[in-house]
Amino acid sequence: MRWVTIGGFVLCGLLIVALVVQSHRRPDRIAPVGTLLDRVMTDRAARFTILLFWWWLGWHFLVTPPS
Amino acid sequence: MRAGWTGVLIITAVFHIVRGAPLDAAIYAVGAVVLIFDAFGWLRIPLRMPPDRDTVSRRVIAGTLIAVASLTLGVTHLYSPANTAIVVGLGVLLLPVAWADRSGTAPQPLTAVIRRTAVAWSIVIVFGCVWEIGVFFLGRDLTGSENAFPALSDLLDPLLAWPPARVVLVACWLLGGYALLRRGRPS
Repeated sequence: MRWVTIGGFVLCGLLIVALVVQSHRRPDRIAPVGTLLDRVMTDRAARFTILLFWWWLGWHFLVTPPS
Repeated sequence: MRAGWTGVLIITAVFHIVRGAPLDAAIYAVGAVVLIFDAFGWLRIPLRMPPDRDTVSRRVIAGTLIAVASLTLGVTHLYSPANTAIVVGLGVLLLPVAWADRSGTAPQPLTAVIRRTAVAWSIVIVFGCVWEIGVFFLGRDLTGSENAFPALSDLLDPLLAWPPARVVLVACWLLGGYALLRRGRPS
C-alpha cells in the first residue's frame, strides 16, 4: 500500500505539472497560474487565507516536531 | 466568496483539533475569526499596498534575504528556538503586507478561461488535501500501518533532517511566498 499512497501524491504533482504545461500550450483554454493568482489575490480574504496556508507550511515543517 | 475562505479556515481548524494539534487549530481558528471580524467591519486597519515596482535592486534585496534565511534555517537545528523565532518573525512581517488594501488594483475580468482554470486548480488541490487527510487517518487508525500509509509529512521529514536538502526546501518555500505576495498588487 505504501507505493499506492506515494503514487497518489505523485499523481497530484503530475496534475499540477499538466496544468502548468497546458496553460503555456493553450492559454485560451487554461490561464497561466499567475493570471489566476492576480485575480484571486486582490481579494483580502483569499490573500489572507492563502498566505496563512503558505506560512503554516513553514510552521509545520520547521517549528513543530513530529508527534 | 469571503464566507468560502472563512469556511476553509474553519474546516482546517477542525481537522487539526481531530488530529490532536491544538496549536495549529488555534492558528486557523484565529484566522477565521479575523476574517469574520473584517466581514462585519469591526477591523479598520488603514493599510494600503503601494504599487509593485519590480526593480533589479528590490530583486537583489529579496534574493539576498531569502538566501540568508534559507541558509540560517538550514544550519540551525530543526525545531530549535531559532527556527521558531524566524518563522514567527516572518509571519509577523507578513501580516501587514497580507492585510493591506489592494482595492486600487483593476481585477482581471472573470472570464470563462479564468473560471475554468480556477475549477481545474481547485479539483487538483482538493484531491491532494483529501488524499493527505485519508492517508493520515489510515496511517494512524490502523495498527502498524503508518509505514503503509505515509502522510506527506512522513515522506518529507527525513529529507528535512538533512541540512543541504533543508536549505533547498526552505528556499523553495520562501520563493513561493515571495511570488504569492507580489500577485494582485497595483502596478
